[in-house]
Amino acid sequence: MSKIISVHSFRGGTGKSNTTANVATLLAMEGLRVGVIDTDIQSPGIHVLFGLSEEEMRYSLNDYLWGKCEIQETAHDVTSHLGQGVAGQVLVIPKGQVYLIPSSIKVGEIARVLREGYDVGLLNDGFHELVEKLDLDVLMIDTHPGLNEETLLSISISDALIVVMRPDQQDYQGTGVTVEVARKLDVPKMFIVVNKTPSILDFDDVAAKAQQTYNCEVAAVLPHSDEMMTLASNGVFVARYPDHPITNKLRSLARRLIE
Amino acid sequence: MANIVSIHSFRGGTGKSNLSANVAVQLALKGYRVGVIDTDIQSPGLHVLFGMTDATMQKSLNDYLWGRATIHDAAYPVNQVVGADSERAFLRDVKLWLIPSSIRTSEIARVLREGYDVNLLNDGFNDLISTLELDFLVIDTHPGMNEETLLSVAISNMLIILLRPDQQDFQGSAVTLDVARKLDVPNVRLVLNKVPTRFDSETLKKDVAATYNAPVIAALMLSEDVAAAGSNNIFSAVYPDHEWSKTIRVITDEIVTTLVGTQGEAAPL
Repeated sequence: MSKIISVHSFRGGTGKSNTTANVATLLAMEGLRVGVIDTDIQSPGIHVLFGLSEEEMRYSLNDYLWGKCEIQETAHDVTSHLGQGVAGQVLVIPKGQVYLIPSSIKVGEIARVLREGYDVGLLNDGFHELVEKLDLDVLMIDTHPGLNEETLLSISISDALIVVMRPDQQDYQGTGVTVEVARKLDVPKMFIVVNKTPSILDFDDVAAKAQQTYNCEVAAVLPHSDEMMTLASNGVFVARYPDHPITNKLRSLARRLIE
Repeated sequence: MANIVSIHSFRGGTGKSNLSANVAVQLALKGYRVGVIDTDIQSPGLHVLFGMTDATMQKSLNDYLWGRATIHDAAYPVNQVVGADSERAFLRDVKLWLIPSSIRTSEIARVLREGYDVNLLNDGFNDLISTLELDFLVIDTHPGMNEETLLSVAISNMLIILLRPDQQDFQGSAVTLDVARKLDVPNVRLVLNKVPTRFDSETLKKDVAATYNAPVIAALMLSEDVAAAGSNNIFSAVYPDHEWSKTIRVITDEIVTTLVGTQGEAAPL
């Protein structure tokens, strides 16, 4: 079973954070203890999906990287947030747990990373400590797009990597770079998820093309979704729409990861 | 004197490269001399919209930053790049130069390993502007906050912040705006992109402008046509009558009006 799973894409906006949050939630619904860490220090966002406000963030990943706290102090149990929906809607609260380790959204904190940098080795220590201290079944790593130090480290220590892309020429070229890096770093398992696929495309063709181009398993081809757009990052999709066709496809992906 | 227009967003995937390419082409089609540069060294993509591949890219911005080439070696006149490509015939007479970043894994990894002097980027911008006698330099940036972005934002005559109507973007754009205000950037403008068609765009523009206390110059509606085109070409030039393309021209006119002061159709020669 995969312990550490990274979610990456070369270009931004493919749906990394949404995919990470959804898969983590589905794994928790299966009864697992799941950690989600936002290593997108340059432009954090996944805390929004879990409804964690700036005021609720006691400590962030930034605080850990600058030695202000222990890594487990940055972990926020957001399991109950998954049940907070719009009025009257009954939501599924997972049997397991979801812990979120957010990056700071404060301008000063983000600028400090640029100014002073930090020891990437600490990030590695933090990942392993989290798994141990929180007794996690799975740690999911949400990354910043493109190639950077956090991403290289995350990919290199992962048991499985999910590469998210859209059926777009910019993404096709860029995904080639990510796949090449992942192969050089010997990631044990790699899956491609094609996201935001326009409905006019033939999904089987899209899957076949990606499979052939990268010689890598395409775990899901997901359609562009109006419901996802309407949700506009105000929550985790699979908790709101537990029986939606997209949720079912994501559930297959989640199960594939922990086989 | 050239005007520098930076296009940024906090989160990725808002459509920065598509907007940069389309605005640069529309400015060039008005007769202006335009440079468009990809400072997204970590995840370049702008070149794709102009039909460039690794094979057709001899020198890139990376070569310049490492002293292996001049910035001019990396500046491609797009009318020559597209050559006999009939799908890009609209670019044959424009005065538009593309400065791409390298899509080679080893080149991108080298930036991580060795870094480079950010000041060189500034020198390169100025060199391009004076030697090519540019009217506009459009800078496509990497999402989030990083050194290239801070530099680009700081030296811009206009900053366009692109965002989707999405909570992650709403929070992140506040960070970008905060930085732009601290850096005293003149002419900060917001553009909404990928707006679901059932939204009333005028109401949304008003709400967003009020929230950020910054002008929202346009709302580009979510378009399956644009998504299906999949960054294959410059959409606004291929489909000039499409609503999305009309909005691109509204943005272009706003840039010209603000920075040049007139909306002339021909080059100000």
